[in-house]
Amino acid sequence: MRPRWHRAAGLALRVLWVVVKLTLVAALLNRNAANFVYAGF
Amino acid sequence: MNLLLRADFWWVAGLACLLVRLPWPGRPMLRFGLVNAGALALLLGWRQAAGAGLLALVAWALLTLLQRRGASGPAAPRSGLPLVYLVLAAGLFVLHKLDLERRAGGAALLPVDLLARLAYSYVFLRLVDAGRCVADGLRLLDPLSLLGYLCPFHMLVAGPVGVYRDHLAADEASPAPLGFAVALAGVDTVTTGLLYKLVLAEGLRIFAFGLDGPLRTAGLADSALLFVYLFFDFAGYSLVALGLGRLMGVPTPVNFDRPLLAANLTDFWRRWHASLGQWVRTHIFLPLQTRLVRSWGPSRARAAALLTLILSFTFVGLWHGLSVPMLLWGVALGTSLAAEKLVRDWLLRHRWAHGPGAQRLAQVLGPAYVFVAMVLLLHPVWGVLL
Repeated sequence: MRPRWHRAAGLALRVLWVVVKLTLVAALLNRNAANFVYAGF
Repeated sequence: MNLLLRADFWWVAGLACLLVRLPWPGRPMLRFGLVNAGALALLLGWRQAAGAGLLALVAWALLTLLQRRGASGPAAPRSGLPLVYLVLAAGLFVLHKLDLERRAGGAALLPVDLLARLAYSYVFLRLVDAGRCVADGLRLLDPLSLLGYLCPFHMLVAGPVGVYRDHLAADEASPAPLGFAVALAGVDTVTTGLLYKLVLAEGLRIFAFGLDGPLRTAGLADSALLFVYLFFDFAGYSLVALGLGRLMGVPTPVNFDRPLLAANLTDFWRRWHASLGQWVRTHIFLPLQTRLVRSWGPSRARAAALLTLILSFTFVGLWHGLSVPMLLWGVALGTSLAAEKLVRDWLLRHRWAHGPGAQRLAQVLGPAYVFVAMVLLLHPVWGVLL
C-alpha cells in the first residue's frame, strides 16, 4: 500500500497541474497576452 | 459564440454537477434528465429546450410502441414501425444537413435552427442506438431520462456519441457520492480539454494563420497543420465533455485514444472519434457483414468484409456532409482501409513480417505513414470539415 504522504503529494501535484493549465488558458484568452506571446513567431 | 467560452456554460455545468450528485430520490438518469432540461433552457433558451423536449417525447412515444410490439413476442405480425422510426430520424438528419449547407450559403432551409443548435448529427446516431436497443428488448427510459441521453447539454458542442446501454446501466446503478479524488480527476480532464482546445489548438492556429487569420488550406503543409489543429480542437472538446460527464456521473465515452500514435489506418480509426467508430461498427459494419456473408457464403467472406468497409466509411463521409465530395471522401477512406487490410492479410502470410525487426520498423514507421495518409485524405475536404 502506498504511504499516506505519497498519496497526498500525488494529489497536490495534480492540483498544481490543474492550476497551471487554467493559468495558461486564462493567458491565451487574454488577447494582449496571446499577441505578446505569439508576436515572437 | 463558442459554448465553452461562455461564462454561463461553466456556471450551469458547475451547478449541474452539484445537483445531479445530490441524494435526491429517484433514478440517477431521471435526476440528470431534469437537470439537463434546465441546463438546456438556460443555455439555449426555453423555446429550444421545449423543441428538444418535444423531439425526445416523440421519440419516446415511438419507442414505446416499438417496445410493445417487441413484448408481443416473435409470433407478432411484422410491422413497419421500426422503419417509420428510422425514416423519421434519418429524414430529420437529411433536413439538418441540407439546412447546414444552405445556412453556410446565407439562406436557411428551416425557419428555426433547433437541429443545428442541438447538434442533430449526434442526436440522430443516439436515436438509432436507442431504437435498436429497445427493439432488442432493453428497457425504455422515461421521457426526461431519454432527453438526457439524446441531448445532453455537456455534449452539445461536438458529441461524443453516447451509448444507450451505458446510460441504462448508469440508471440502474446506485450513484456513488462525489469524492475528492473523483472530483479532482474530473476537473483534471476538463482542464486538459481546455488546454488542448484553447492553448494548443488556438496557439497552433495563431502561429500558423495569425491572431485573426482565417484557416486556409493552400498547400499540403497547411493541411498537415490543420490535421494537428483539428486533433487538439476536437480532442479538447471531447475531454471537456468526458470530464463533465465524470463529475456528474453520466456515461460519456472516451473519444480519442492517442490517435497520432496509431500503427495503421485501421488502428487510427479505432482511436480517432472512437465513439463514432464504435457506432458504425455496431450499427452498420457488423450487421451488414453478417448479412453479406450469409447471402454470399463463407467463401466470399473477405470480399464481403472489404465491401462492408467501403460502405461503412461512405456513411462516415455522408455523416460529415451530405454532398458529392463527402461521398467520394468516404469511398476514398473505405477504399484505403480495404487496401490496407489486403496488404496486412498478405503480410500475415509471410514469416519475415512477424520478426522483431519488422515489428519494430512498423512501430516506428506506422504513425508517420498514418499521418501522411490522413493529411493526403483530408486535404480535399477541409472546406467542408472546418
